Amino acid sequence: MTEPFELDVRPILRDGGEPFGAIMGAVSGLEAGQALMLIAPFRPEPLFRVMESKGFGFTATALDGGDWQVLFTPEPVGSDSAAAVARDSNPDNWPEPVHYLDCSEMDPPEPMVQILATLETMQAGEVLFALLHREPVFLFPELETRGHAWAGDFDAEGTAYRLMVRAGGRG
Amino acid sequence: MQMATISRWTLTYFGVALAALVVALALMAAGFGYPHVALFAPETLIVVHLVVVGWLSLLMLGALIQFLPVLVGRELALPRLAPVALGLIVAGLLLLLAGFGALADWPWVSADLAPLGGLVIIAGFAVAAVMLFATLLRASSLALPAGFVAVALMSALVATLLGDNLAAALSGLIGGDFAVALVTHGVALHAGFGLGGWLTLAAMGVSYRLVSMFLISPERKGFVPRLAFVAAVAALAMLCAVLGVLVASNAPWPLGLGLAGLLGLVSLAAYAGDVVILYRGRRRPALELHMAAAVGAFVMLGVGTVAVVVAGSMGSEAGLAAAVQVLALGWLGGLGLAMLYKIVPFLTWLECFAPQMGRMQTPRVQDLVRERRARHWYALYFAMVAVGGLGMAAGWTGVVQVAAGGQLAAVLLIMHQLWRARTLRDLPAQWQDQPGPRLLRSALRPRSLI
Repeated sequence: MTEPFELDVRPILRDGGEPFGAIMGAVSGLEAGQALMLIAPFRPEPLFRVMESKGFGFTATALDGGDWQVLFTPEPVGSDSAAAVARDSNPDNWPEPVHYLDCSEMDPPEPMVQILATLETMQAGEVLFALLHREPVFLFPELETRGHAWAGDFDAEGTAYRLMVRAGGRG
Repeated sequence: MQMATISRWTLTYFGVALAALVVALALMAAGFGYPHVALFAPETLIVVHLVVVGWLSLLMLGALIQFLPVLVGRELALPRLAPVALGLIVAGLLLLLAGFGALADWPWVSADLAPLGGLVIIAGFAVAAVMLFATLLRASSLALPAGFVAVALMSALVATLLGDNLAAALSGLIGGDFAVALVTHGVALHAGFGLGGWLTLAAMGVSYRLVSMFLISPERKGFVPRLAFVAAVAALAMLCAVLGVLVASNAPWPLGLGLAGLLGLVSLAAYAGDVVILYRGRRRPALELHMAAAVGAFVMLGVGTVAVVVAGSMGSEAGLAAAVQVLALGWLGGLGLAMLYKIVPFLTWLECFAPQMGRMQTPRVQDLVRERRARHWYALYFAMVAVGGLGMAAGWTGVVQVAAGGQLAAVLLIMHQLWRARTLRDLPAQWQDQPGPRLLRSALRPRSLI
């Protein structure tokens, strides 16, 4: 097993620098399965969420003198851990959509019907992309009730709403 | 989280509002109020307030508690206040009408009930405003339609406050030069804040979004809608200045009132231009009935506005009364009736079929209604509003009564269609077994067959 890569950000902080870039640089330089050992002058809470979303679990240990040592360990892919859930909630990590729906010319509530009908045919984890005329505010409660995850925004001109839905495991 | 759900009390508001409209039209058809008595006779005040507070304001508030969350993409704040506001406004309206009745020498009632009723109405509007403003404050940014609604709500509060002072002056609770000045010059302001600032601005804001949504037409952005908004706000600010002059010096300020009117016209012209562009830019060629009927309301807005200007410059009381009637019943009431034909089936459809969507075949929203039947009643309604306006301008009292009767018939027939939609009576045979929702109150969670 590879030794953890060690990064001490205390000198950077002492010089008034911002260590985030160095940490991200170290993370991208890790080998597959390699852990990151971080030493900081405080418990780096905000970093935990960031690393979770990148698929790392962590163990934080207090050192003498108020410093902290944190071991970030990559979680095995497909695990049910909190880190995997956090990674899944980030649409950047979703798979490519298997369905593309253009609902921009449909009368409300037809887009809603089409999207939900398509979702019924999909496996859990598969992703649907839909183009709409506007934000489907009445669809969202129904997506939530059925356990689907979604993310959406308007395009630059504000004329089309782009929606990604990832099918959830249905009950 | 951007989300909207069914508002539980909207249909209750609609039901009470329609009941007030039916009573008002029945009174008019029976020859109650202007033109059988003077324009400011108590009987006229009863009919006018039934229409403006009972019908139009409750209709607008009921629509806003459903629609404002859709506008801002947030759930309604403090939804428990919705029945409180409704109860207060209805109770206040009944007290106000009883107070007006006392002025017309009805037995057992006191004129003091009018300012008391006004106070209760103020409380009702204040409760509604708290709920709606709290919802607006949840939004991360306010789109133009929401801006219209925010200004309209403030105008509603001014209109009710001013109205209560008028009621106090009329009932003799306050006297002196101020009361005389208020009764002489304050009515135009009260109507301006109520019909203009509150109801017309709210209708403009809501329709900017609804028309674009229902016609699948690109939303209006840029200079023209901004002009409509800024000019409307400036017109309201002028009205406030005129009110300030009246309060400070007991004197009218005709120039200020004229400027407010001019700014109002600029706003309406910009709005009318936008509506035309929205209709022309629509992606669906065929108009559904609610959008076709809305054209009738927009025409009434144009006709009524021109009539106000013409009658105002001629100093014709009958002309002004006719113009205001066309604006209240044709523009605001007509737009409301038109939108109800979409909103009621849509909410009913959501309530009954949302849980089944995608899992089994669900009907279309249009399957809940029969447009071929209902369109005659909408045509009848707008025709009768036009005839009533003409009759009122010409002083033909019999024509006004017949036209009110015709409107009453049309409204009852439209209500029958809405009732059929709500109770799922027009659904095709394959969904005949679908249980219908409660008539006037939506379920908290959409009901499910499964």
